[in-house]
This record gives sequence, structure tokens and C-alpha cells, in this order.
Amino acid sequence: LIDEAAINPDALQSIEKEQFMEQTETTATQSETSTQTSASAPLPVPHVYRGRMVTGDVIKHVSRDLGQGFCTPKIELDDLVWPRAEPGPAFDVPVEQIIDFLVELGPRLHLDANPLMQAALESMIQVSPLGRRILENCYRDIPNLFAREVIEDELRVSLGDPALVDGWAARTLRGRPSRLRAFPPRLVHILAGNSPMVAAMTVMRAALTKGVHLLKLPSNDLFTATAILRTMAEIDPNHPVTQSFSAAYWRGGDENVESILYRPQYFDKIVVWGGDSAVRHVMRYAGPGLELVAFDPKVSISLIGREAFSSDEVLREVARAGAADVLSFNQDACNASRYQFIEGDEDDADRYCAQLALALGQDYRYGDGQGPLVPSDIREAVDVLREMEPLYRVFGGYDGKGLVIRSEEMVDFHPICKTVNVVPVGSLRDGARHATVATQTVGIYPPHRVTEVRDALACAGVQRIVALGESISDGVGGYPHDGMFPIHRFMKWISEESGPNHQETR
Amino acid sequence: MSALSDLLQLADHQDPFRNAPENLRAVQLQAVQERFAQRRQQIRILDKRASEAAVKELNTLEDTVPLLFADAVYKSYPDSFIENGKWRHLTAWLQTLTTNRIDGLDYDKITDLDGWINELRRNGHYVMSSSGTSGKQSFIYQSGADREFGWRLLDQGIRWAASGMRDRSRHYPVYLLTPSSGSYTGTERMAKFGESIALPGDVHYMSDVPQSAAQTTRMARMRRAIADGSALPSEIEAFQKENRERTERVQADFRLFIDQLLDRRREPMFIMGMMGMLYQIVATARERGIPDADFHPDTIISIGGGKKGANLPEDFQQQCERFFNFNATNFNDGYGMGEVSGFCPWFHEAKAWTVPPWLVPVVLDSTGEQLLNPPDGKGIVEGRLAMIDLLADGRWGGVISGDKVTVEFGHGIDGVVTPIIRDVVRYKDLPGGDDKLSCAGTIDAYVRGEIADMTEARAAK
Repeated sequence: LIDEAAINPDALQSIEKEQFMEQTETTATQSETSTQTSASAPLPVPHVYRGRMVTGDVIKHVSRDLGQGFCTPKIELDDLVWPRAEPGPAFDVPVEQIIDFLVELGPRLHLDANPLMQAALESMIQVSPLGRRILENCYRDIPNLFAREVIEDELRVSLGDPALVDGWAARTLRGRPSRLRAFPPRLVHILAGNSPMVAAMTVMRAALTKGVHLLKLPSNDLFTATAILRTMAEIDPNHPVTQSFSAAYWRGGDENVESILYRPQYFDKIVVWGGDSAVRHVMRYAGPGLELVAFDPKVSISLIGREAFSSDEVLREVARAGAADVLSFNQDACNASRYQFIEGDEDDADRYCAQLALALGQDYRYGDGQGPLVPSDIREAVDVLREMEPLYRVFGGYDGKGLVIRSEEMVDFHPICKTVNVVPVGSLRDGARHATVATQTVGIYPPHRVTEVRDALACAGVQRIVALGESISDGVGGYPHDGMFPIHRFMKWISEESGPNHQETR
Repeated sequence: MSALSDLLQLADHQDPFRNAPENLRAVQLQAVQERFAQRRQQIRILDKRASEAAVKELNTLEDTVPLLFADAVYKSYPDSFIENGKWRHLTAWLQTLTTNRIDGLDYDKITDLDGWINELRRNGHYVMSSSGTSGKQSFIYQSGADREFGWRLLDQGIRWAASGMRDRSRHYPVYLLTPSSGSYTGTERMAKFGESIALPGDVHYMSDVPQSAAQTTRMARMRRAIADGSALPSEIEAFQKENRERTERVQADFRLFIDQLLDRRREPMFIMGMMGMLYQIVATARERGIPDADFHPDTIISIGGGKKGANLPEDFQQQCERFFNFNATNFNDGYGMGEVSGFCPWFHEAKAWTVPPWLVPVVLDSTGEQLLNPPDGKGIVEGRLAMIDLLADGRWGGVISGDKVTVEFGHGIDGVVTPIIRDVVRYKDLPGGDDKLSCAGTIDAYVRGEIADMTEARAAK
């Protein structure tokens, strides 16, 4: 608490002033819109326009999750676009130099060494329900995304030949010569805030495209992206990568901003991270010349084989792995398991449920043993199911330490806040039948039995299959994401077919 | 006499609002204590909830907050019970929320949801079904006594609000903006009241296409089949076609109904239904060049619920008001919810709804956790409305709604003792919820088109 008071928000502003004094705009005092005034002073949320930080309290907002008041400067619409008549700042920079810059950035983002990241973390605690421990773990993991091997694998696997992003690669198809380039794109990224890793992952991938990028901040992560961009500016405010990013907050769906900006003349694609309503807002503007790239909102499940019952010790281990998959960002992530199908009868399932409920009460790197309380709509439904034993059996409670409901069929409500529905099935294949187009990740125990179900799962719509307990494991750096290679999707694939191949690349 | 029976007696009074005890707050608290003591013996969920919250007795209204059921509880049954015809399970579910013992049902007779409801009725259990706000229908248990109160309170409330109705000898042509069948929904009590004030053979319904619970179930089943990918395109097509035809039949019936009603506008009539539907009458009249206030001055209008509706102009309420010349003799607007007995009739002098003394309004913060009622029983508070229905016989009467309301306590307007409700909006209609982004999704987001829209439309009713 002492740290918090010391660093936030005064310290944040003093840091800002020291490093960016000449760029800080005068803050206006009148309030344009005021949704609700919170008791404490509103948190200042800076915008970053191409390495230049702007603060202000002209527009006041209230964060969705924790009701924290915050303020932003007025949106400077002209600063959020890069005129199409000119190439973006990094279009012609060799990708090797981009990689070098990102690799230099990585260690600079280290929480212990970076006051900007420290201040961002303190502010995040005011707007993110994840809490200090998980947020700090995330912030400590952010530099890993910028490791050279991760970046190089991401680029190579996504594009095949990284040279494609630097120039016009000559090729001959069926005797006809042509050149191909993965041309740098102009993108808007509508970020999700349920994990700070989203912002970091986006900056890493976006930089590798060499394009220009507007990051729309979510109200549950108002600080991570700008802290990273400002660290870039500290390394070199004029670096082409620094100059290729801007980040701002406006209320999602605000027509005054979105109807102006979301045009093919300014951007090629809108990249939207989940959120049913966010996708629907953007759909209104997607059309010829403005493409939608969606990281869809998803549901994840687990399939557990009868091997889990081979001993009490094994069952405990399996339950711990099952709990780890549930607890991804306190079950507020697309890869968090919500339904678990277990091979066995009701008694077997109950034994697993009892262990699972215990395991959910322990801390994991990205999940809290003591999580958010179970919301009342789930509580109402479960109170009733509890009365219907043995048809249903309920383990754990509503206190945020974990709630498990065993049922013959999937429950009707959407399990959140560390709530798991366990359904006994005759075989893993029977369990796999519950995968649908909405399913993202499936965790499997024991791992070798994946071969029984992987084709059926992929057929149903599943995008990623992991060993139980590893849904949150390293999935960046050459792995597909939501059924695609994001960098490949981001690029504009341009074909030049004018005459013979004079040289390898131009 | 106990506080509870004192308040319950007011249900038979012509004017329970002015004749409620002056120390209403204290009497209500005592009555809530009596009800709670009785109900926790009968409803295990309530008892458990009280034990978990360490509530032994209710010393203040605050103590009731953890004991209020969210309205979602009345649709907490698993859909699969209905889809797979597990009627015994569905009964077991209903039993968990019910004071009376439900047994003796002949399960061989039950083939669908309508059959289950009818079999319950044959055994004296009058389940009321409604579509609620999420597309899933709720089932609210009514005992024989609850059902009886249903229409008695309708009579009481309408006659209290619209002074033109106080002459019990008058009878009218009655136009009800509801289908003629669907006996286990709110329709039953409207029909029963309509018959009681109608001229012989002069009751009219907006449509003869029956409202069926099984129909709602079919829709739920189709949604699930679409979500899990098992629905064939031809099945979706057939389902949509069937629904469109149904809608067209309802609309054709409704047009005839409106034409007939407009033709008889110089006769004193009784018209009852939802405001959105009433506006359809106004819109049709405009097309036919019928001016405002052209109806017989003795025509009575009683509306309720569902101010929201698709494709209605901003000022549709004002248009209805001018067209029918709403005033203290001819107009009632009822605010209520399916989960509580009776409703809050329109109190013309206050331009607000007034809460009957057997409903204890409990105003909570938006999360439903903090009590906001003024501690001294006087003043205006805004928040989520919950009510404790002291009259409810077949179930626990404490329920939290999805409505944001402004309630004024101790206003003293025109001798009325009970609180009044001024503004009502549904929390789900309030702006927000757009930019707290998370990649976590729900399966429902993957069901698109008419099926999803139908749920939306039903939710907007």
C-alpha cells in the first residue's frame, strides 16, 4: 500500500514530466463527457502518438471492471493515421534491424529495471480485476516475448521466407516469372484487456510486419501498451518502429471516433481481440478494402481419460493439471477450461470433482487460489441443482476458491469465476462430441491419447490441443493462434508480374 | 392478529394504498419475519441460504438481502430436462422452489411441456410460464390461492387507478391485446377479469393462434442444435418458415381485431394489453385518418409491462396518451413482474406507480448486494428493485428484478401511505459493457440469424 501511494499517480506524472516534458501538452481542465465521478481522483491515462506521449484530463471515463475513474487527453484524430500517400516509417527498414530493436527492447521492459512498467503495473491494479500478483507475473513474463528465438521463429514460420517482408522475391510459377512481397500493412488493433500479454504480443507481431499500427486500448488494460511504446521511445524516439505505433483510449463503439477512422483510406485491416460486442461494432465498418481479422471469443474444454483413476496420487496430479487449465487469468481467457469431460461413471467423476475443487483453491502463475466471488446468476442456478442430488453434485463453494458441478449433461449457464462443469462420458470420443465451432483449446489427459480424438476435434472447430495443464503454456513464436498465423494474415500479399526476373530481389 | 394477516387482509380492501397502516415499515418487517420463519421450514434452498449467511432471524430489512432470489432462479432448470422429456426431473426441480408437496402426477400422460403443465394443473399446481428476459422461459409456481389472488388483484388495481371503473354494474365490449389461449401464462388472469366485466359474448382477443410453452421449447432445442452443429440447413429453413407463418397468422388476426375495435370507437369499451401493442392501434387509426380523442370518453384503457418494442417511434407513449386521452377516470398503467402477486397500479395524483402494502420494496445497489432503502422510511432512492411478496403462497416471495427504479418512500401524496415508483429502466438497456474486452467467449455468440434474433425480440418484450 505504501508503494502504491508513492508511485501512483503522482510518481507517474513526475516520471512523465522528466522524460517527456517538452512533448507533454498542456492539460485542459473542463470535462467534455462525464459518465460518473469516482470518489478518488481519476487515473491519468496517457496516449502515445508515434513515440510522443500526451497526457490530459479533458475526457473522463469510468473503467468497466472496477469502476475506477480515469481521464484521457482529447483524441487528436489526425495523429492516429499515417497518410497513405507516404510509406510508413518502417516500410523500408530491413527486418533484421527491426528484430535487433525488439531484442534490445525486451530486457528494457524488465519490471525491476523500468519505472514506466512499474508505474503501469501500479495503475493496472486500479483497473484490472486480475490483482497485483497475477499482473506482476505477467509483467515479468513480457520480456520473454521479445527473445530473439521467439521473434525469429514467429517471423520464419509465419511467412516462410522472412525476406518476403523486405523486398520483392522473384519466383517462377509454371514458367512465368513474377515477384512477391509481403507488404507492410496499416492496421488498427482493438486490444483485449483480460491479459496484459495481449498488448505485448500485439506490439511484437505488429513491429515484425513493418506496417503502421493504431492500438485501441481496452478499459481493463489502459497502461501496458503505452508503457511498452514509451520504453521504445526511450531507446530511440525517432526509430522507425517507435514512429510506427500510436495508442489511444476511446470508449469502444464511440461513433465520433470509429466512424471517422475506420476507413480503407486509412487502414487495411481491423484486428479485433474477442468481445462479442467489439466484433459487432467493427462489423459495421468492415467492407471492401477494410478487412476484419478477428481473434474470436472462445470457450475451452478438457478431456480426461480413465487413466486418471490409476491411483489417488495420480488423481490429485490430474486434478491439479485440470485446475491449472481452468485458472488461466482467473478463468477470464479464451483458453480457460470451463467444461471437463471425464471417462468414467458418476462416482469416478465425483472423486475427480472433489480433488478438482481442492486444487482450484491453490495459486497458479496466472490464477488465484482465492479468486473473484461466483456471480449471483450462477449461484442461483447452482443452489437449485445442489438440491437435486444425486442427479447433480456440487463441490466447493461460491467464495472464489473454486466451484465444481458434476452433471449428466452440460449445464445451461456459462461457467465463469472459477466454476467448472464436469460431465462423465463413456469415452474420450464421446467427450470430443461436445467440441463445437466455439471451442478453442482442449487439454487432454493422458497426452498420448490425443490421437484418438484430434481429428474429430479439429473437424468440430477446435484450434489448439495440449496436454492437460498446459493450456497456458508458451504458445507464441511460430505457433498458430486461433487457427491462423497472425503475421501472415496481417500482411498485404502483393504480386508483381511485370516482365522477367532480372535479379533475385529488388 | 399478526402483522402478516393484517397486511394480507388489505388484499380484499378497495383501497389498500390509503388504508395501509401508518407504521407500514415496522408492520412489513414484522410480517416478513413471520413469512420467513414459515417458508424456511418449507423451502430448503431458503433455509440453506439463511444458514450460509448466518441469518437466524430478520431484525432489519438489511438481513433479508442475502435471502432474496434472483429472478433467474425460476428458470434455473436444465434445458435438457425438457428437451429429453425428463418430466420427473423437471418436477423435482420445481419442487425445490415450492411450498406445497407435488406428487400424484401421471407421467405416462405427459408428452410435451404443455402436457407437463396441464398435468400439474390437474393436480392443483398452477405453474405460470413466461419468456422472461433471456429467452429461456421461467416457471413460477402458483398454488390455487395464488391463482385466485391473481385475478382478484387485477380487478382491485384497475378499479383503484381508473375511477371510471368503480361502478361495478357497468359492462363493456372488452378488447384484450393477448392471444385467446395460453391459459398458464398471464393471459389466464386477463381473460378471467375480461369476462367478468364484459357484455355477454363481447370479449375479443388479438389472435387465436395459441401461445404454447412447447413452441418456446422447440425454439430452445433449435438453438442448441445450431450451437452444437447438428442442425441441418433444411431444418433451420423449415423452422424459420414455420415461425414466419405463425407470425403472419398472428398479424392477420391482429389487423382484423384493430379494424373491429376502431369501427366501434364511439362505444364505451375496455381495452387492455401492453403499451407497444396499443400503439399499433394508434398507428392504424392514423392511417385511416382517425383524429386524437375520437373514442368514447368512457372507454377504459389498462396497460402494463413491455414499454420496449421493435420499430416504435420515440414518442409512442405520448402518442397513445393523446390518442386515447388518458386521464384519472379512464386509464391504468400497471407495473409488476411475474414473480410477485398483483401489481403496482398507476397513481394519477403522483404520476407514478404505487406499491401495494403486501409487496415490500427493497432497493439495492446495481450489484444487488447493498440495501439502499432510507433508514428513516422517508426519501427517494434509486437502484435495483427487489420485492418481498408477503402474499405469495406457493413460493418464497423474495425476488430481485433486473429493473433500475426510483422509489419514493413516505411521500404522503393524497393520503397514500405506500411507496411510489417513478422511473423504471431495465439494467440491460442501459449503455455500457462495450469496452471491457476479453477473448473469453460464450457458445451463444456463435448462434446467428433469426433464431438469435427471436431470442432478442422475446427479450425485448
